[in-house]
Amino acid sequence: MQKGLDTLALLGISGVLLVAFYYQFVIGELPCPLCALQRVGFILAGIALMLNLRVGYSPAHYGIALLSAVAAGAASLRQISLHVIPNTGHYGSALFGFHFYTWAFVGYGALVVYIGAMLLLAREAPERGREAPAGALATIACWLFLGLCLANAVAFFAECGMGPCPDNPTGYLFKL
Amino acid sequence: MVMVLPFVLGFVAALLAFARRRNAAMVVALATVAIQVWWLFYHATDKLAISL
Repeated sequence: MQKGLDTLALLGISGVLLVAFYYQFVIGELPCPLCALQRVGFILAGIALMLNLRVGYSPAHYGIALLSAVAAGAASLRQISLHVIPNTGHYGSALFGFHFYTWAFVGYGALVVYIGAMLLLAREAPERGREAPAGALATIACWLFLGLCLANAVAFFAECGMGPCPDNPTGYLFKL
Repeated sequence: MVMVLPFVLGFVAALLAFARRRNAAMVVALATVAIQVWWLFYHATDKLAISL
């Protein structure tokens, strides 16, 4: 059951990254530096889940996801706090009434709850490599996530080059 | 500050995880977390434009 839930969670994280790409490339909203840090949080959580799927469950894998969720949650809270005072504007579009940094904060909260539940429900960690191999859906989820990690690295290189991203990005440094 | 660095390291960690190189993936992922926290500290203390 654990691998099934981790697969679904990895697909969920890939879905979040795909939505971010949709708003970046279709709507034309470039990610800001704090947005970038929030994406890194989802990527690190995905890596932890992928480790569970590829080499077997370990609490240490969830530890990485937990650390990154706390750091990325702090980044989203920083961005929320910039706009919480009335008439201080906002960054980007809203989805179902909330901006993406608010949704990101909710997402990291859900991730922390998920990790806590999985650690509670998990049996003793089996010896790695002696578990049943992950199924086809898990393999597809891993490939999709791997592709999204590469796409994020390329997209941020195109936007920021080898330096810091602008506070209010208006275009790409490199275009095809 | 190289903003793309945590994304490149994240991709490398994902690649290592996919290749079942567990220890290497863990080390690179932890390095990515460290850089994420470092960048966060920078962006939590610098003077950002309020439109962010």
